[in-house]
Amino acid sequence: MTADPVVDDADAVGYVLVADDDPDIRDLVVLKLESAGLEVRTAVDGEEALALAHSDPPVLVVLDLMMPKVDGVEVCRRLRANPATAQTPVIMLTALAQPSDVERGVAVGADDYLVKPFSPRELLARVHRALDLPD
Amino acid sequence: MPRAVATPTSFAATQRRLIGTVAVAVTAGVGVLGLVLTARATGVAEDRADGMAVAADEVSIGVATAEAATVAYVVVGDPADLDGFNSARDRATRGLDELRAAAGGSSSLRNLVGDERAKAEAFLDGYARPVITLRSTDPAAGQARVVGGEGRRLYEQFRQAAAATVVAVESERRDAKQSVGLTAAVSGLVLVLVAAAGIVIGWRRRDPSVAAVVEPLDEVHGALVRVGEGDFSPRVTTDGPDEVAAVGEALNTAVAEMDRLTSLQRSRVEREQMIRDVSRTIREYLDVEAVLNLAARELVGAIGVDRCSVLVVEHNTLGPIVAEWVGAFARPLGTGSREQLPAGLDLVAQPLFEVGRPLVIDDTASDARLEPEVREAFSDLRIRALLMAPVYATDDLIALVCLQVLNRPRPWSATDVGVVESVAREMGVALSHARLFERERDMVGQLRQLDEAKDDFVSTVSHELRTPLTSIVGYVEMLRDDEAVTPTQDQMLTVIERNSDRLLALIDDLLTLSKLQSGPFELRFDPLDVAPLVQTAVQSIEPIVTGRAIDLDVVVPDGVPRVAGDAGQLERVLLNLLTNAVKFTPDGGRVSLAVSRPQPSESGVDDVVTFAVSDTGIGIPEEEQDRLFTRFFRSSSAQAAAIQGTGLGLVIVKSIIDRHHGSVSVASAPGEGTTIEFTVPVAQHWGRTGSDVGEAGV
Repeated sequence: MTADPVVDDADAVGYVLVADDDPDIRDLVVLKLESAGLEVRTAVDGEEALALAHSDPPVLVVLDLMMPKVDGVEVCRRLRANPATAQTPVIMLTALAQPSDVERGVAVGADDYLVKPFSPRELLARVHRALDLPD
Repeated sequence: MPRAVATPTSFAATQRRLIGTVAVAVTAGVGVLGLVLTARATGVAEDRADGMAVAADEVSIGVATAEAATVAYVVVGDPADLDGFNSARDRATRGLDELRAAAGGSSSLRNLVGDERAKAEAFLDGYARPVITLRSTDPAAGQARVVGGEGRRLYEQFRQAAAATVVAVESERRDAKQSVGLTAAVSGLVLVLVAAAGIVIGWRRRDPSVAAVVEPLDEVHGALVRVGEGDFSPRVTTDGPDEVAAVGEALNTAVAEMDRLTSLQRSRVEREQMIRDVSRTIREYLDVEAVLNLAARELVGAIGVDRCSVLVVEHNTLGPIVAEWVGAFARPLGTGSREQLPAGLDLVAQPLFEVGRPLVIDDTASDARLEPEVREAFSDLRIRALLMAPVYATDDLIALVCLQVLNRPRPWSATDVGVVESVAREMGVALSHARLFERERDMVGQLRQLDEAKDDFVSTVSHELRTPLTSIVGYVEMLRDDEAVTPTQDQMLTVIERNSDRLLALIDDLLTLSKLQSGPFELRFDPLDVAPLVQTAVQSIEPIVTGRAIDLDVVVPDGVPRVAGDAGQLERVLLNLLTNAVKFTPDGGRVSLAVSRPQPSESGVDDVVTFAVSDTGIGIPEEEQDRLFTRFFRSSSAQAAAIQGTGLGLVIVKSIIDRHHGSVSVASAPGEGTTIEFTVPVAQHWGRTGSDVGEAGV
């Protein structure tokens, strides 16, 4: 399987930040998004995600809810508090299909969420929608 | 006061004097009689209020004990707690009957008592009894109900109602007490006016003999004024004309009687009030140490002794001091000490162990019952007077309350002994409660911890399983999107996908079940229209019916009342049952869902609506039917037919229906089909579907 990045496109859009502590899931998301020509950068925990987002604001964040150090809810809250990322769309990934998790995510300003296990196709569709790109 | 000069009398004057005196005597007599009668009447009102306070306490103790016994029985399963529950329930019921009788014509009190009764019954008969019954058939389910907050909530509602009654009763008691003083004052005033009228009658006649009448009357009047002020001590000199003397004597007798009655009543009221205050405070502290220290403190204050020690008794042997309170001039013997006490105290206390009555020693220096060395030991400790009372928890002698007076003898009064006995009895009740309460707290705490641990565990497991599944499902999907995959490889990927879905269903079911069983009161009970519930479930099942040659019949008759339940959970029940029915029915078969009109439930408490899901599928062998609702059980016919399932669907169904206070039953024959029926109680206070469309809506 090969990703076929369309460099010009990615430059025009900016990069998607993917934060998940599970390397396989991280790679899965990267593969899918890159196959659609998006530029992707990754973070292994909440702290790294915040640092990256702070130094170079992404166009979209795919955020795992349960992460070490700083969890997804807190990351989302801090992204919203920072003017540079206050408007950046955030898609949450949650392994706990509990309404309370979804509520917590939405309360701190997540735009969308997917319950694990999710379909990579579905994720890509949501990313496109959030970025106002055609599917 | 007018004073007249004595002059010789005449016949006519004597006649007038007689008329005047009689007038005074009659009016004064009527007044005194009125005073005594009103005092007696207020005494009755006060007795009634006292009776209510006692009955209110009985109800509270009864329900509190029943609550503790329920928890104890459900947790431990000891039949003794069942007896405890029954007798506590009887006690509460008796108290409620007495309360109702005593409330009499007061409508506000009657309402309060009625509310208290309703709350007590909701707890005792609506919750505690069913829980006990449930415990006897299904211990785990019984315990789950106790761990949830339902019982606590109902008990708390009762307690609030009981507190409202107590407040009303106490205010009535205060009114009754005040009215004793008030009536005495008012009657006194009436008497004074009446007597003054007599004096004025005599004075107006300007009779020389009036002085003979007036002087004693003057005295009578003075006495009456003081009586009117609540001072019942004055006595009238009874000289003067016979008639006047008679009035004075009558008044003296009346005042003496009033005096006696009032002091008796006051001491009784004070004593009862004290016992009640102490015992109420005691009951509020359900902690053994606090109970004992509090009782010791209250007794030192109430009886006026130098020291009150509470000693443990085990197997009729005195143990160490566990609680103690001292007055201003005494030092504590020290808790934990046993050596401090006279060596012969066991012997002294022996009769008390045997007969269970208080031991009273007015003077340890001269009491002939004491051995010389015991007397000496008391003398070393400067203990001159001693009053000991046994404390029983249920039937076990568990402690001694020991009141001590230092340096001087004390002639203990019957009231002293009575108060100590009463407080000791209340201590016993409080200690029994405290024991039960501690046991309950420990047990419930353990169960809660266990439950929380399980809940956390399941959530974690769910998360830990979902994460690898995400990778499996995600990569499989991406592989299948790849055009390089051969048809054989695609088939293999389908197998991986199907098994991933199966694993995911299992995780979801486990998580659902765990949540249902650990947080039963997260359910929202609303009045629900049956038709939309059924419609939602049928819509959800359509995707799996489509493409199968299966008839799906749904029958919901008109006029089915709303049921009380959680819409999401009841939809899940219907969906689980319909999914099973479709899954186990071969093509050409039929699945039906039939709702029937309400009928009385087995317990006869609420009417129930019955839902029946039937299929013409493979059926379940009879010997397996009673295991259908246990976790991970899968019928042999399902396994033989290689139909997948988690073995949790029906467990979830039963769990949800149990929470709804309904029942589930199964009827099935292999090869013919299966019918699973469940009931849900109708919503009691809401109307029927259709007849009140304005309120409709789930």
